[in-house]
Amino acid sequence: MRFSKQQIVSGMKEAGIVPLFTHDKPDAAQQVLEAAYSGGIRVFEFTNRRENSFEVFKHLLSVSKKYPDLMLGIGTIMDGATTKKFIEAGADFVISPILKLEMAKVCRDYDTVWIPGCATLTEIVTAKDNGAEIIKLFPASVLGPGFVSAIMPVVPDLQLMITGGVEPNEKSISSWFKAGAACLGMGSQLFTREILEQKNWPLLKQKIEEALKLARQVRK
Amino acid sequence: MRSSGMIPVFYHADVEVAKAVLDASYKGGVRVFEFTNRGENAFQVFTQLLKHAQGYPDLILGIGTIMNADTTLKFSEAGAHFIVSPILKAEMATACHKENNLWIPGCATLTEIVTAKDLGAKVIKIFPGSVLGPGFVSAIMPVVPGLQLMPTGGVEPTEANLSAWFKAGVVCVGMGSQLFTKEIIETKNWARLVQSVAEALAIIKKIRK
Repeated sequence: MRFSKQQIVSGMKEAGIVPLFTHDKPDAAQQVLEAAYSGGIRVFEFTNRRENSFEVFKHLLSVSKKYPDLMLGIGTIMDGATTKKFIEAGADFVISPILKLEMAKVCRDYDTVWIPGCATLTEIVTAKDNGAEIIKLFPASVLGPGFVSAIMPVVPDLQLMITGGVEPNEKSISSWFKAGAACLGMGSQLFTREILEQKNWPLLKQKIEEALKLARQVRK
Repeated sequence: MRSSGMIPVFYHADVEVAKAVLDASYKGGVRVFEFTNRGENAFQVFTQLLKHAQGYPDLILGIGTIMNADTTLKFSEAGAHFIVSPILKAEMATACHKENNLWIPGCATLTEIVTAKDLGAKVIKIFPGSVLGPGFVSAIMPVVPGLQLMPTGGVEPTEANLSAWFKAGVVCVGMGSQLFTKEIIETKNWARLVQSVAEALAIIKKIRK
């Protein structure tokens, strides 16, 4: 265990932005991770969406040894057995698009941060009662910042990670933080098809720097 | 369901009106029809519709707005070809499994959808469709591949609306009050209904090309 749960939670809140990404080529995934790191990312979510995601993730974990301050977690996990497999391989945290209680138990057994995906206040409070320190709101663009500002006064101390359709511009970033989000997950809006196809890592680095800067500015 | 692309959703307490709507839908090209259990005598009307539907050997006739296992069994035993619910109720999955019937639960979050899938649902209804929107479908499809979703509630028989849903990745849409407008039903304008149904199906066919 490279980081405590507390370090992960505060790392996510400090960063404000947690990129999420998947790729079936270890080299390309490594290049994206390193470009993100050089842009200032210290918390990164690789997503388990391909046949060989476990192998690619293990490769990234070995790469991440070069970066002792990088927290590398796994996303799109749907059940307890897969949770266990990725934690044992070294995932720093586990994210899911759904609320699945068997995953809470596995994460508790391994003292690992569990971030379930929720879409109603009932799901969110159930997640909180089962030990989720951070809860992912998914798909966020469907719910909107109004959902967050409506529920925050009802359940204080919620730490919400907003994922799904968050855009790397001031309007989108500021609307979510103003509503009370703890951090924002950003995937396809950041790692655009164009950037990936052209392997334009300098542009990726620049976009990430800008997004992190915006996240800092709007939270001042 | 997938090949037709559109399932009409209808209820009426008067069996003659229900039969006329079923006839008009069939004439317009519908081959999968959902009658809904929304009135006192829905069961009686449905059993008569089933009898009437024997005249259409290629028509699949199911029941919707089912909320528990007892009602699931009652309608299954009467001959419903599939069972649709606006909610996710696990005991209905067991009942449908027992009767070897298709269970289509209604879900509104990805957690509910994955729970339904794990309980054996092959097709999942997205309800209320207009609240969640096509954006909900396109956001979740890459996360859980192979989902077969049927949005219902507020789906409109227009090219813009239908095309947004199908582009997002749905297998079919459920359509009720937008198709069976109060005006059509009150004036018993079945010729107009045949036309509306045929138009909606033609739009879907065009979009999916």
